[in-house]
Amino acid sequence: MPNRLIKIYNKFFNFIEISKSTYPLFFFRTGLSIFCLVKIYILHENYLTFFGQYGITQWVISKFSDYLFLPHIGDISIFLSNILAISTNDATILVIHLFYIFCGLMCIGFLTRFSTFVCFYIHLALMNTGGGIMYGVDTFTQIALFYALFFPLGSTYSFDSLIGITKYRSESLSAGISIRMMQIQLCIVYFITAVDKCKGHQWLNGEAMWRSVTLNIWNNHSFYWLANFPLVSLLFGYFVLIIEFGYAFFMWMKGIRVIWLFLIVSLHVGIGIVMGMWCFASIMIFLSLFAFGDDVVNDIKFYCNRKAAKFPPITSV
Amino acid sequence: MKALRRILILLHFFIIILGVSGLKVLRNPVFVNLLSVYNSFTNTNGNFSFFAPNVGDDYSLNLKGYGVSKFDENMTLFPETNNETRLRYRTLLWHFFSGDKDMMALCSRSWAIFCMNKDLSLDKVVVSIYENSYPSMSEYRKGKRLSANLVYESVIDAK
Repeated sequence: MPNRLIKIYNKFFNFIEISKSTYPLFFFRTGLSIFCLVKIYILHENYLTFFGQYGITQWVISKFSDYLFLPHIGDISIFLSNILAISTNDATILVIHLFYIFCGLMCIGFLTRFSTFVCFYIHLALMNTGGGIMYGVDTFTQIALFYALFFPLGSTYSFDSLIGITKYRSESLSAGISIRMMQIQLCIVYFITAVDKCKGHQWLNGEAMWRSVTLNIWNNHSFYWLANFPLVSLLFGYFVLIIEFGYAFFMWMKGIRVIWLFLIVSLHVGIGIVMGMWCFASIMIFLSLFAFGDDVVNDIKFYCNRKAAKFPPITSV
Repeated sequence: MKALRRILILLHFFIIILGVSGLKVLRNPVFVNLLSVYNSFTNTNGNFSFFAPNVGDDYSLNLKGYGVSKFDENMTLFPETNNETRLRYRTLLWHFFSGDKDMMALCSRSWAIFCMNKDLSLDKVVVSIYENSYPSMSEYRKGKRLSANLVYESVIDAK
């Protein structure tokens, strides 16, 4: 038994600890920082309504949390308002502008580790303060920011490597581990989502798809015609389940993952179009592209090279 | 360093698997709390059951404001400036019903105070939340349509 466990342990770490090119980390750093910036900017007309002292959920209530040690916009704002002698509302706006600045720094890779930490911290504070308005997009942004704290984001095409704070590497073990961590995390997420969907009856009889697209909350398009075509709804429901279940398995298979990445991207584009959840769709597409994009590019290159070798170009003598 | 990295990776995935699977292996409240704290910071081992196991109904909020010489039936507490803002307001109502009764009372009070701060002439706000009950596909074909049922009401007086 211990031998078997050691074998599994070694196999697991042989799989995790591989060297990979670092350019996906550049994609991750710039993409995540731009996404964070856009996601918060979209709410700019309602900053004080969502996160202000007298917003829809006032600080006295949002502070009423299980964990008082979690960062809260109220604490940061009161601290800033005391030292800068400004109102708490101005301090709240200042915190959000600081978030923008550090997203910018993270994007160019300047003091990458520190700027990533500040982004992580402020985003956590925003989530804790506006708890009621947070949904999947914020969960996945926080997951990405958490991983970003440990990823070597400053080692590739960054200002830090330009001025010598970090050393530029085109390939590294830590890049490989980072990508593997995200791959496993996403596979777990999609697998668990699919399992939970199968626990209910709606995804298996087509009702879930019908309800998903007709909920008032989306208010984008009218899909009531779907009631006359229950088979379409049923098939789409199964399609979602197959894609989510399959993600955990087929994304590891050379060649097939090209198709699966396309399918998962299509699914999220569909969510964007039908439900108008473009922010959620974007972060999920972004994370999948980061996690499996490099492997898919390699698969496509391999396929193209094989095709080129099979049919060499006709050269003149 | 390598050993520490490996331990942390194993621990991280162990916590994720425990969290997402819902297994009650560690019933000790200390462990449960630790998992919860880990999730509060990382969100990695939380609940990923989006639209699962079933797709529930959604809610709509109605606010009525009363003042000395004022009655406002269509108060716009939530300015829906764009699609994302609208989604977030509706999310608020979903979260509202996942809390306990005390939390509901606190939240509705908070919304009412927000309204009163926006319009100082108000001295009473009635918060009503309706659950939108959706027909199934076969019910829709038979002519049944969406109906809204009052599921929560609270009167908040300024005095």
